[in-house]
Amino acid sequence: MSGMIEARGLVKEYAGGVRAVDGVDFSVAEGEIFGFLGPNGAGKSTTISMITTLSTPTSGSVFVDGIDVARDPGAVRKVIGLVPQDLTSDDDLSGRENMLLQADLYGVPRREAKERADELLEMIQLHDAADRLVDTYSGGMRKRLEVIEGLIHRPKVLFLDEPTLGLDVQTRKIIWDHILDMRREHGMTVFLTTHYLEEADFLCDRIAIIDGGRIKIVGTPDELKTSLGGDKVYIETEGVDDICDALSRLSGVRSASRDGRTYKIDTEDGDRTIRDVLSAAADNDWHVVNASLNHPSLTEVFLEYTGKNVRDQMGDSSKEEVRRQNLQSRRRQK
Amino acid sequence: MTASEYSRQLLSLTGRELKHWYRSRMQIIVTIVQPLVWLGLFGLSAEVFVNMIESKGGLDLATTDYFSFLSVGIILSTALTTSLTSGMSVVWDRRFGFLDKLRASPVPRGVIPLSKVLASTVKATVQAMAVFAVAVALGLDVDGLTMHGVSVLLASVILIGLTFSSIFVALGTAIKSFDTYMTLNSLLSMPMMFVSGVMFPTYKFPAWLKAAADLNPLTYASDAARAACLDPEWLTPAHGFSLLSVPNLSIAEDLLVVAIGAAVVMALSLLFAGRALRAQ
Repeated sequence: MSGMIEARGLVKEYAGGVRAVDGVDFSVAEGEIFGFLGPNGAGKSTTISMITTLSTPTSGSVFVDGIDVARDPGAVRKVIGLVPQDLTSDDDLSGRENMLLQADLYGVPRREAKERADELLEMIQLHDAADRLVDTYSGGMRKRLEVIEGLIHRPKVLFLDEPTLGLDVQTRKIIWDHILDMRREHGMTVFLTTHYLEEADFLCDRIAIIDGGRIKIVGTPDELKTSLGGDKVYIETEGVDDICDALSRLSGVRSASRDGRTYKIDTEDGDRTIRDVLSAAADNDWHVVNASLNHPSLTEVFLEYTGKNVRDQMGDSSKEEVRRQNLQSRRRQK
Repeated sequence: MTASEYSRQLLSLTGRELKHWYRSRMQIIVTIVQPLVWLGLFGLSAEVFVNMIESKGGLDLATTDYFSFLSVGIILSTALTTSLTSGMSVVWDRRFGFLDKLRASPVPRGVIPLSKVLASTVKATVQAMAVFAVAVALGLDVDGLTMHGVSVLLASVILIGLTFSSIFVALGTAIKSFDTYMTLNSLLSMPMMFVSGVMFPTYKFPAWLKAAADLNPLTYASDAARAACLDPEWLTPAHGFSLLSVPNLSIAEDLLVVAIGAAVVMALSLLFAGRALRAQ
């Protein structure tokens, strides 16, 4: 087994024949940040449950750090950390007590546990609130605490299920900086699901897009974007004859088409093509009044492979958030 | 994993449960009010009723003091009712995802229910001893009370706590909704209290009811505690084990029965709960 996580033909079928995960294969290398993107109900959380020993696959196998999850779940649990989607910190304990409880469960030496708890609480700016009951925390504070709870035992592989949902930009950045630090210092591998495509784009080494329990495509963010046909350059001209032929002869250009005075150029490298077009315009006296470049975004990739709009998905997930917060407030009234 | 790591996990999780309890103002109020309600209202009023029957020579308790007789039973039934809520925390933990976080951690499956059983037993013991203190204040006869008597009472309370906390923690791992749990709780608590020697001497029961009460650890626990705590001259009536025609049991035999029962029930419950917490 070469990768830190190896999934082979993973299937999870629930009663009634619903296949939440329907034959998933992937491999995550040590130290890699691997993103799992997909619409709600695509099978992301179910996949995490199977890798983190919470759920038994109907068929297929998973190895974490070379350990068969089905055969020795106890050994797998020692090397992983899980930051679940829900806010699961204990309301009736303080933030610090929640941290030290996790440290006790994972056998982090006490002195070290205290130091790390201080350090992590400081990092996410919960230091002042550390000794208050979590009951008094806001949603964002709870989420931040949730994330650092998964870090206190310095897992080899960290699973993050929607870690930054509902967090402000500053906090997201703080959390990601720390996770990148952990990877640099300890070679931590990260497996994450997220709804924020920009986040996945700049963080993830590789991304898998999953829909209907199947992986649609896996690759680096650039590879995924290129798979949609690369960059597009648009130019608008004035008083010029048809230049489609000339444009399509430029190096790297796949095709060029015209719509009135606007030309659309499909190309491998948009930055280079736009330079070439402008210098050709100067040489040939084409009067270009406007030029623009379009790199395909991960949003377009997501739409292409799932046929679903991320914004709709966000709507769904905020409903989820509301449901969860209702639960939390019911708990507080207990 | 070493034994010290296990015990650290166990202590930490047990401590968590106890913090929930002693940090809740409501729980502390309940701890104080509940014994007052049971003994002050029920105990004292029941005594009037029993004295009426007694004056007609009806109910032979082998003691003229029904309040003392009942108090010892109420101390044990308090341990029972407190233990019956033990599974609720499993249902909560599942609902809020904490249970999954525990399940993804290296904590051995059995340690999770065991921590809840231990915490629940501590609660049950403290609660029962609070009832004991109130009972003494309200007139429990303490003339014959010795350290030996208090130790037997304490042992009975702890064993009852372990037995019923185990059963209900195990149920909690199998039940996913609060409502189902509460329904089951109220369905089971009354028969368990009344089909035992807690309120009345079982030898006065009809044969079928006595046979059922003889299967209830509370019968043996209250018998042992009464014999040890109350004036030794008021010998507690024989209850024995009618199904096997066993005659009256001594205090030590009573405790042994309760201890064996607790051990068997705990082992089966932890096995069941551990299994329920494994991946599905």
